[in-house]
Amino acid sequence: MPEPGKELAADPLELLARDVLAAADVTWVTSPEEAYEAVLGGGVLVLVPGERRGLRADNKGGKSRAIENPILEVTLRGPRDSFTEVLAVNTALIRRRLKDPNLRVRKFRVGRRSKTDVALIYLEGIAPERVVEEVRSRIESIDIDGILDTGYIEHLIEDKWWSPFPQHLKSERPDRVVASLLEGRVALIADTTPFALMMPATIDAFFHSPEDSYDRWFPVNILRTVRFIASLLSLTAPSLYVALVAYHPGILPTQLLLKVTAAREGVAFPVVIEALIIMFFLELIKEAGFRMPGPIGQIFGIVGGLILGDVGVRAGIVSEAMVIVVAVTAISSFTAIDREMGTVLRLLGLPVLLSAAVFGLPGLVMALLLVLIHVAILRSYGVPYVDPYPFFKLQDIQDTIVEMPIGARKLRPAYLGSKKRRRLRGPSGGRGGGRRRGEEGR
Amino acid sequence: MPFRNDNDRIPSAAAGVLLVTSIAELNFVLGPRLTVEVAGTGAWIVVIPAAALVALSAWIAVWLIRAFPKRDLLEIATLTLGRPLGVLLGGAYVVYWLLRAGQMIQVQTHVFRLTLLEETPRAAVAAYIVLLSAYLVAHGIEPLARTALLIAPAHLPLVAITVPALFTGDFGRLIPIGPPDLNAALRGVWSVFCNAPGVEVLLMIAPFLSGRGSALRSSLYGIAFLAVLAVLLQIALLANFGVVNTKQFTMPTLELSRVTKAPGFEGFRLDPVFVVMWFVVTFASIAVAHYMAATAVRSLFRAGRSGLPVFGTAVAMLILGAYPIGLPQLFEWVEAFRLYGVPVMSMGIPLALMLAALARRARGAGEGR
Amino acid sequence: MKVQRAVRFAALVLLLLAAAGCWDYADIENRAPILGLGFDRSSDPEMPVLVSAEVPIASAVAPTPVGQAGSERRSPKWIFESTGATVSEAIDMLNKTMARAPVHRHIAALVVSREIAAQGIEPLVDYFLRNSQVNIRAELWVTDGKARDVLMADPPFQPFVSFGLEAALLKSETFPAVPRGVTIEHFNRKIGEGGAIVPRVELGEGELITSGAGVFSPEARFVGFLNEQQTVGAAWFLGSLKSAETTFPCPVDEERIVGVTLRPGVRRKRFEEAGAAAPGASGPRTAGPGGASLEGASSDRKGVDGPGLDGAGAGVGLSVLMEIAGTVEVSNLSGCRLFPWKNAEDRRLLAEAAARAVKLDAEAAVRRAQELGVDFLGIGLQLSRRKPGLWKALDWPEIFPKVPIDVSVRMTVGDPGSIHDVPVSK
Repeated sequence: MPEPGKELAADPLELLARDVLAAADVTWVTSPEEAYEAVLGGGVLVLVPGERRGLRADNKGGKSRAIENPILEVTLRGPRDSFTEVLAVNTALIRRRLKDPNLRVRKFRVGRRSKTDVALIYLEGIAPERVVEEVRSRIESIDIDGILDTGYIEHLIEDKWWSPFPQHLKSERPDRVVASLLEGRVALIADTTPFALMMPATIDAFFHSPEDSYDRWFPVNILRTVRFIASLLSLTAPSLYVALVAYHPGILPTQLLLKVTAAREGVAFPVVIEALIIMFFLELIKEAGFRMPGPIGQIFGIVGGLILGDVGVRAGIVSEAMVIVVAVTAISSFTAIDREMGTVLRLLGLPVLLSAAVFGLPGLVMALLLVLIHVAILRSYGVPYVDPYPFFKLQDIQDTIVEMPIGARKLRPAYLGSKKRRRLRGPSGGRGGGRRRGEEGR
Repeated sequence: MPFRNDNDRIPSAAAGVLLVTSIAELNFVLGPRLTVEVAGTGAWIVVIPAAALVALSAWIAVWLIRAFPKRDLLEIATLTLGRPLGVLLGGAYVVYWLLRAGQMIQVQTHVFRLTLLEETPRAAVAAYIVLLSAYLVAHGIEPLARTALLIAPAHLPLVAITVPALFTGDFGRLIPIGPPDLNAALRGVWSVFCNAPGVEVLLMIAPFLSGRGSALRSSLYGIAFLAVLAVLLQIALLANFGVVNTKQFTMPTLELSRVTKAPGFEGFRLDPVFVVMWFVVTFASIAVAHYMAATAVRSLFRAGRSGLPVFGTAVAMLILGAYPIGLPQLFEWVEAFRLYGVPVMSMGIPLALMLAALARRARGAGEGR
Repeated sequence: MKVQRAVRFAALVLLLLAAAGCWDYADIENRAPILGLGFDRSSDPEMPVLVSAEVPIASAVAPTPVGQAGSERRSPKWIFESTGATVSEAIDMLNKTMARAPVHRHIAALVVSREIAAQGIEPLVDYFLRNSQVNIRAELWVTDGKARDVLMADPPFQPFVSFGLEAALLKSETFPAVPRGVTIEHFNRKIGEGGAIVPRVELGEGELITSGAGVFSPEARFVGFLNEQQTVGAAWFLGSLKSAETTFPCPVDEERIVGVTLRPGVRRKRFEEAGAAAPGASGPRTAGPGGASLEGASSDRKGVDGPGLDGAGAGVGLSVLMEIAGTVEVSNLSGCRLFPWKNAEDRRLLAEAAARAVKLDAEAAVRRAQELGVDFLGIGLQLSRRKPGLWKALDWPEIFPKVPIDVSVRMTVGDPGSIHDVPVSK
């Protein structure tokens, strides 16, 4: 590619590329295949008679979706723009927020037939080189016909494909991607999809909302704790209920026991089957509600709730207590910031439920141990999935279950391995900074 | 250069975590009665000198680690005593760790049978435990250390039953303060020490520690943590049950969990919750013992990265853990094992290795420098 | 390779689960929690233990659209009975009449009839301590009548007698005529320390009357009842109350009755040796204006001063002084012309009168304990802790009935009430 600032050479093509063509993206074309690709890809091919090479200018316009509000990551505070299906637009959204000359955008073309443009974005000097190189090598090793979404890439480059846990963060929000880059992560965006990937991922990060940095520390910390508890509930609520009711009724207070017993009387199925039935119904309603357009989807939710909540109980298929338990499970899973993680935790509740159904409370605990062990074993690009919880540096606690105010987060997380740790210099604002300008409370 | 996940490096702070995990196991459940039987109202005091003994064992282990950098117990034994003796010692330790793990599985499955799962075959529960342990141990020391630290909050239920019990207890039951005589005091100290096996874990993780400097410090912190818990527990038991009743119960800690009411949860009977939470601690100890046995087997048979040592030792653990044995015989076995096995394996042999190393150094033939 | 390992592992786990049989699984509607157990003597000499179990009918307690059969309101409980040669057999035989598997972890109340208790309840204690599946926090009660009749009562506020008894114990700290609840585990401990008192319940005209206590010897044998005054006195001795209402005649007009709330302060037991009379060994101490509380005294928790031997008394070589302090809150002067807000002398009179009332109660408890020969007041326990050598030399059960025990009470008026003057009656 012709480099800006280079001495003007007596080469008309170079002159054309550097000074004449107004496109942002100009590349050399040296083979017929590249020429076909340029044209088919919607670019402009410039051929000069007598020259054995041409120029490709990507100045794609064409129809694409306008920048809209994020659909899955809704926040009350913070920017309202989200990525689109156009790589250049997405890159631009990031560049608007990071006008750092160290921001690197390395382009790849992935997919033999789809030739999808993929960009690896990172801040040089902040993102660890070994992660960048590892991501690069994994992308370059992909040999597939077509890439239609970053999900394809994700599943082809992750450490353990068979793990139910996602090993990449995903977002449709540019602000979240930029925040990750500033922490020392690496981002991957692809043409034709609005979802960006960020890595390395830690389980902690799946529970962090971008809004957490915009709101005050007090409500943020409480709500974040609620999210963690909700996630645990989504994983354990049905199995805990089954274990207590079917194995260890002695644990419950007597009054509660009587209420639950009364609720169970007349129900046609054992509590385990009841749990499975209602969990299945829940997934049915959820899937149907998603697939149906707009108002019909809402009606599904109402009808499903009515059927389960009222008619199912009256018919003796399920009990009221179980409806409450599963409703709590569902609501808890929907509080997850990352939709996929929320779904994973909710569905992992199924093997946990089976374990509890066979071994009661010990079975529940052993299944949770299995999940814990798996999570402890998992790594994402060399970073342990459960970092920073074990063997942490104290300052890494700054953004885990608790989030320190932004003024206290002076260093980047150590576990991401960035060499330049400092991100906040000196006291800021009213926190002891500057001279006193009188005692009037300024 | 291929990208490698390093599951074979742990920070020095992990030494303390693994030590706590290795020692904690069922001692808080089984140990108090045995100590009260010999030391009476002084059962809480004798914990302190016993903790000092355990700390001494840890110091000996760290001395060996420093004298033989990046070597584990078997390698140190081979270097100081020669190959035949080293192999013999290694085999003895493998048997010791497998027996320990088997004991823990036996007791834990019996506890489940008594309190939570009356009809479920112990072998089924034992198999589940062993499978989990094998899955964890197969991935190396680093995930094991991470899991051990993540599991550390499972010690909190012990605090949750001990602290309220301190408020409801009658401290007059600790009078007369101290063991009845010197003999009782010494036996009490020995009883506590024998119920704190596992210090040798330091020698098995030595090759993987990434910085030696704080291994001793983190170990001492871990021992102090356990000692404080043990002292508080003994005081709570004596204050609530007195000497006679503490001796009466087979597992007084479990009884304490049955009588203690958690503030705000008075209507709940939370002792099953305590049992399963303490099982989590025990599981970590089982996994550590399993790891030590598997690593020793791997070293003895030079098995490289093969998964056979892990699964072979898992099978052995399952047999030992599921073997049908009644509770009285099991407790006799456990007491005898601890009385004779722990002092030798945790302190005796490391001390002998240390002396042998010093002797070699003195003769100028040590390789440890 | 790692994938294969994971697959093998998962297959093994699944196989394990598939081979498992959910051995302990039992849906809750197929179980019946037992809330209370009653123990009586049966008429069958070969099966002397008669057990009654109070079992709730869940659907009657909490009717639901699914569980409710018809629109009639059923009784919320059922009393099942069985007999056996031993406690465990009798409890096990409940399975004969109960259609659902019993759950023992919810047992809240154990009511023992005097008949059975007089033979000793050690088998009952043994059963509850030995089994992990029963509730070791079940509270003991003793009744002069039939335990079965007590369980069949219909308390007004609670659907079940067990709940009613549980609620009654909550009052014990402010209504000491009901002693503090005694769990099985607590009972086991207390009889090892000299003796125990167990709350008493009787059935009177369909209502449950909970006051007074039953005394159990170190052999876990019932030896006698305490009336209300003796129970209150025991509570003062044991320190198991936070406040107590009492009445006494007005010091200046005996026809008027004064009502006060008493709050305990520190208590101290002194043991005096032979020949040395205890200072202030009898009667209340003289209090200065506004009264004074004991200084440097310790509570029961911290043990007591050293014991001694008394050549006086009945020649047992030991005398005991119990010092009790507390404060008085005047709740009802009822025309008694005393003005405690304004007059220090009036306060002193009230304090002394209150002290006398407490002393009467405490001495009643002491006399009853010595009469029954059971040291449920914990005096021997304190002696054994402080002077184990002397304790070993004494045959405490033998000398306890004869040991001179004095009670000294010192009260202070802490709160004369919200009005400064008596209401004008004319």
